[in-house]
Amino acid sequence: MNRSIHDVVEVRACPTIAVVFALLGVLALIACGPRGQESGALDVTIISVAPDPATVGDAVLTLEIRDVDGNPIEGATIEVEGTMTHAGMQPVIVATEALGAGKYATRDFRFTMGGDWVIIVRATLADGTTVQQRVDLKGVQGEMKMDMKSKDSSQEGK
Amino acid sequence: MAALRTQQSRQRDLLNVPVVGGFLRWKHARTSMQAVLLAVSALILYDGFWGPQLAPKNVAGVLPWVHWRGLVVLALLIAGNLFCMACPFMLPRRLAKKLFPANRPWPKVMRSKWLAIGVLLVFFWAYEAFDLWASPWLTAWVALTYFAAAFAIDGIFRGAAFCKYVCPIGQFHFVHSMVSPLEIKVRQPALCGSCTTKDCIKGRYSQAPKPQNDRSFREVESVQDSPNTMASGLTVEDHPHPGPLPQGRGDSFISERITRADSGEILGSQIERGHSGASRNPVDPDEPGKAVVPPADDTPSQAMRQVAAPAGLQLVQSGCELWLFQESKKGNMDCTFCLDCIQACPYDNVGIRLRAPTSEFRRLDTWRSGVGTLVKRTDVAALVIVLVFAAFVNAFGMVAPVYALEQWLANMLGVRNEPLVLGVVFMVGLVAVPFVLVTSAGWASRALVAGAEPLGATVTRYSFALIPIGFGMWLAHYGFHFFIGALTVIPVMQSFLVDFGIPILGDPRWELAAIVPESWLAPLELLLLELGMLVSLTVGYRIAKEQQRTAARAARALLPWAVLIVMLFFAGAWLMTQPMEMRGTILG
Repeated sequence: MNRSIHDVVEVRACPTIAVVFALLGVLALIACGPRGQESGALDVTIISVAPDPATVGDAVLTLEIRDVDGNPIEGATIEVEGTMTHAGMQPVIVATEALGAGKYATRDFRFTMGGDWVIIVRATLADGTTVQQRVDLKGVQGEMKMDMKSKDSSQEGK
Repeated sequence: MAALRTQQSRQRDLLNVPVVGGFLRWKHARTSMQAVLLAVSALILYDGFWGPQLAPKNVAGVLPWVHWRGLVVLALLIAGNLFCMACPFMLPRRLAKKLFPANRPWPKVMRSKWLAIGVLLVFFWAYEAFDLWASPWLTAWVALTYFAAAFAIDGIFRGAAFCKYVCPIGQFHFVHSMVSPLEIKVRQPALCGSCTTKDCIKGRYSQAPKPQNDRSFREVESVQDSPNTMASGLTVEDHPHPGPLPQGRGDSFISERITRADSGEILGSQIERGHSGASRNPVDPDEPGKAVVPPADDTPSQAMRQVAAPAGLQLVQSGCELWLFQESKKGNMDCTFCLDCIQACPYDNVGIRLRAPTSEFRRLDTWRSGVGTLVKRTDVAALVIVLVFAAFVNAFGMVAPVYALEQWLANMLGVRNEPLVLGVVFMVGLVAVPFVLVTSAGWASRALVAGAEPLGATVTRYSFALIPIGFGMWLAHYGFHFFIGALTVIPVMQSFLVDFGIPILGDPRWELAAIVPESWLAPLELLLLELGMLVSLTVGYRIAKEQQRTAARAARALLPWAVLIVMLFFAGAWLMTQPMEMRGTILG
């Protein structure tokens, strides 16, 4: 049961070491810079949602996708992920079909819950590069109908 | 027969379970768990501040709100207060204890749960008003504020002031661990009677030279040379106890005050004991006046015993910093499962014992070390009531009808400020409605048995019966999020590593989410809520039976509370049938 002063010092140092390592870890990550930024420049617009207004259930989203110069993106493979501002739900990930002139329509998309949705568009361009853009879609109506037209997210720009 | 009882007793102790018990006995067990969670916290802070600001894609959006909350309630259900045990905020706090004196007493006026109740109310309101669940950035700020608060408060005040009086998460754990199946308690009470050192509360000291900056009563993990050595740098004063004594105690009690030999500072542990030395109970000086056995008068003792070694000794193992003296500790209230008492006891006489989850609600009017008499703790009762109703209000904030209520309130008040409207919702839901309901139930309960007990005392007594139904609702709510989103951490971590060019886990599989079929969730939620209701009714009857002379009177006394419990059950069941909505701001 006897402990030397070395044991005591070792034990006392434990939390200090843990805290120092945690701080070093955070600093190392900070040094790497921010992560998860948009991986490319796309101008994505949701030009229509059917049904309108967006309601829980099956839906078709029609998107218009342009590059930074405003040229329509043609011949790309577009995947659409619908998720929400709250973590912990299963996202809806679907393919799209090209309608021409940079327009794409989702296949088998479904709003599984009412509230604020986030549409993430992932495009694999004709030259093989991949880009991704996020578009917010507020106020998808739940099963109970109510006036939610004015819903607006406050989470942008943090 | 005695051998069989001993064997059964050993089997009911987590410390005797292979591997787990060995780990928990390891002197670095808690630190290692805290270090893991500190690393996770560091990840949360980084991603919250510098990661993608979309909660489902961010570690700070997923781990705290889906996993941590779910695992907390599940741990409380199947074990105990495991998350206080592994609390990462305690490591910087321990650093603060090393850097600063940390020897000020917590202000007397704040020695209750009222401050923590205020912090809880603010947190529940802020969670909805600022959509903390949707903002990794704000979540990181909340975590950082926690670290800073624990560091600052425990760097100034002695003991575990932050845990006992401030931490809202800790209060949540304290209250709900009252229905947990594990409790840290003495194995053989008779052995404590012969213990002269009381290391479990005083801590243990070594002969090692004291570092220059070691000016306070602080924690270090190690063990002491001799289990019977009262080497402490402490003075123990004995003086007659002038106030009322704990139930069942004789008149020949004296009290002890543990004081630093070098500075004369009262460290905070006072002990009452019989002259025979057969029984000792601590009096917690950090507790509000009448909530605990009143301490002896503050005058110096006539018979001062100098049991201390010379100044300069070093504390090598803390005793309980929340002033829970094992010998008379009852239940899990205020117990952080820090294991200090287990490490400190030289007789290996403290275990993590299995118990009936309702056992803590027996004899609420007996005095409990560090807590006092629960039926006299109106602050604890208020904490319980706020947490019970918060379970329902918090869930209400996630279903569609809350928007109709917000719109109606905004129109009625003529305001478009959502935090203000939510402030009204929370004040009504967490303060006004609970006050009216529990006061009405208490009044009716007294009227039905023509009881002479003051209304406040009746409300305080029966409020503890509401804990299980509230816990059932928290389990249903947080359990839902956990079961439906437990696997979302995988793609988030995959994405994290991919962004840093280390795709060792592969590309993110964003389709991963639930760990149980969705069709199981509604029945599971309802089952948890029903269990909560049944346990609440059982506990309520037990409380009534202990107070009333006959079963018929107990049933009458319980009736209004039973109605309230059933009402809460139906409120929870109704909430579960409502469509969920993940919402941002509704008022333009």
